[in-house]
Amino acid sequence: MNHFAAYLAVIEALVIVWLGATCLVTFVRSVWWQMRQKRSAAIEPALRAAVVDYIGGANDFSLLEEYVRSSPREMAEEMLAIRQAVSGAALDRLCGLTIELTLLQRWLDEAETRDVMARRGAFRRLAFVCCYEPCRRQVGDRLAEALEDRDREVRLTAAAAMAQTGRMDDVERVFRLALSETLLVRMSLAETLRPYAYQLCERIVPDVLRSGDVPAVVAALELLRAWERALPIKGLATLMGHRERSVRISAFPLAALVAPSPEIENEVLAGLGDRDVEIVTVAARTAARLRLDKALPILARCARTAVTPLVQAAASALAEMPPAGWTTLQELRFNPNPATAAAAGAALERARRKAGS
Amino acid sequence: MPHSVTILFAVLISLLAVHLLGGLYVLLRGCLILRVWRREAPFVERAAILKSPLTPGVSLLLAAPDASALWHPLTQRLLGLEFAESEVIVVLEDSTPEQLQSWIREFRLFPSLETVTGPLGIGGVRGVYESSASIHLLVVDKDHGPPGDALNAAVNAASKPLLACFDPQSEFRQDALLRLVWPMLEARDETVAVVSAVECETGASLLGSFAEIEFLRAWLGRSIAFAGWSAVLPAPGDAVLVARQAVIDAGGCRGGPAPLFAELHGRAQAAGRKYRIPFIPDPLTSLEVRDDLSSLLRHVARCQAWIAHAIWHVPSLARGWRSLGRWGLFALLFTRLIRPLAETMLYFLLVASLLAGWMRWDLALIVLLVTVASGTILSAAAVIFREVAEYTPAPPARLIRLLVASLAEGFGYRQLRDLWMIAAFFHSETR
Repeated sequence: MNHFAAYLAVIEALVIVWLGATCLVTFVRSVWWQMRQKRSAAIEPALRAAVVDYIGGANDFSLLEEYVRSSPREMAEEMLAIRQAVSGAALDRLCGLTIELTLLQRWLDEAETRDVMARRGAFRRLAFVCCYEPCRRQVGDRLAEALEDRDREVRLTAAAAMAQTGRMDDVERVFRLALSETLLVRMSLAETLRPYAYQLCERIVPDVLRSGDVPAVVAALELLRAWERALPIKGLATLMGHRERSVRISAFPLAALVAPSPEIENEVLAGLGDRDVEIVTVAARTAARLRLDKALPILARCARTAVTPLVQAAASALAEMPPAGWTTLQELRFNPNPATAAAAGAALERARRKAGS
Repeated sequence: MPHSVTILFAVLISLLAVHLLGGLYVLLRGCLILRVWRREAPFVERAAILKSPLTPGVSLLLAAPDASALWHPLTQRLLGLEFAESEVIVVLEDSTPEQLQSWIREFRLFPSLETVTGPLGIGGVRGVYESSASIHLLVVDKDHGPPGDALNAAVNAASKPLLACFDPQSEFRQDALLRLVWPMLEARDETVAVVSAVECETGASLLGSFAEIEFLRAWLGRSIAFAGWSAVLPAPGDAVLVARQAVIDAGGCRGGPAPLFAELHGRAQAAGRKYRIPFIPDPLTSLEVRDDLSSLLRHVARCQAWIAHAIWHVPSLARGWRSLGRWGLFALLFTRLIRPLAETMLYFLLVASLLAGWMRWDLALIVLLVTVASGTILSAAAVIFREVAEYTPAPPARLIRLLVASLAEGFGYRQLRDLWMIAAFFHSETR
């Protein structure tokens, strides 16, 4: 028993020594961090005043140069914070200051580092100066290269900065990046790309939709849907009847965003007759958004099936298509199938309430 | 000393040594994983998620522990959560006519033709009510059922593909859903569910520090390290988001979130498909633990009951003891039941040996200190490893306070906590 207790005591002693050393390091780091925070907070008002003076027309660099030497990090953060509040000539002057104070060169060097946190910070700063042409010239292809970076945040920051330039070549590269990223990133980039939605639909989108690369086609359709704008999407009807289920599911919601055509209506009707419940569900929603009267008999048939999600989707679609849809629902309320009767009753009640409110 | 007592001492001390080394390994792993996560911290793009039509809808489920008006504010807060497409489903069990009236008045409810029949079997539904205001609220009034029945009714009634659940006792951030949905948007097909961390709201007293350490150990070990092994289980206060279809495939809830999550893990592993149940280390919810002993022990007992539910339900899980990987459930059983039992037995044995004159007092003191130190080391390690993992260090004063508390908890509090844990483990079976 003595041995067991002794062994445990030795193990514990070793662990305590190890933890003690780690603790000391973390404690020193904590103290250093707090001191740095205090120093940053103390210097911040003076820094801001100096930068604002310069933007306001003062041409004395000496104080700013001194700050850049002593607190480059704080200086960069302050300029980023001020960037949100200025525009036009003041913004140009602020961006120009990064060249004068060699901050831009410093950030370009940091953008090359292997430390991902430093690289993120550098690209965040580079992104802000890229709205100013002389800075953009100095940054050169660095942003385009960053679209291939291992770190997602660096890629996103670079993409946002490139889209700012307004050059369609750059915008198209960002669009291609969006196609290869996750849905979350795509949703973020959709906002960045929204101002160029029409031009993209004219130039690059048709090629992607025709490519046959299913993940890219689905991603492109998702981007189009995220823009929520009436757009010229060529060949949408073909995609609604695509052999790949995922493409069809992504294509149906876009039918309401393009000019109506017989091909699209036929695809919606075909979708309502599909065996796949999810396809029928999206087709039912599309039929409702298009107010497609031709779909009423098929929707009524869907509402009479024994598949609960189908019944609910069909009932909801009919509820959005008054008056004929409501009449159908009124009849379905007395259907012998209790699920159909309940869904029809609930959908009709909800629709009437919505119309009345 | 009799030979059998010597062997018993050796076994108990060995168990503590295994727990110490295992615990350190788990905490260290949690630290390393957290470091990686912090480096890969995703960008914040709340507006895009809020506005995008690509964001899937979420049904917020609330199985009110009773039908009283006490749950009205919580329901209001759920309705106020920032999200584009959400609905709130409240299930009341065994409500009295007065209680039901209070809900009808508060939310301007009226009887709905909506049915709650669905893929999950549930007890008798008395009525379904919808809000007449322009808010998406559905209230299901039903008979009292077995544990999990109320949540199953809510799952049946839900119309959105994702289900979110908040602990009724926790406070949550208004943008919690927007953050919770990220992992679902990052890997839609693989993500079965998401769990987010909970923050401890307590005072800076010694008991408050004990509570903070309690949360810290669970966060770094049972949540983050286990998430690294694809074995995370939600703890009290955590917010969870889960795919509705996954819940239906798992046969619904059976007495709390822990058995459901164990089943989700087990089924996904059994199917051999790539899946993930990520853990968000940033707290989206907070749980108040008042800095008094009874409040603290109540929290300990609640945590224990959640885990014990998963263990008691092992026979009904598709993969049994292998639901949380090969060792997950065994590790939980070891840390939550065997370790407290071993430590408590060791103290009793120590006292008995001293009284019987089988052991010298100086040796007894060494055994006592070694036992106490094993727990202290784990608590201090949790505090230190968090500091190592995080890019933003805690203030030095907080660091000192927590280290002092981890030292102090070994002298009385942990022994009491062990007794509480043992009692709560067995008590949870009878609930």
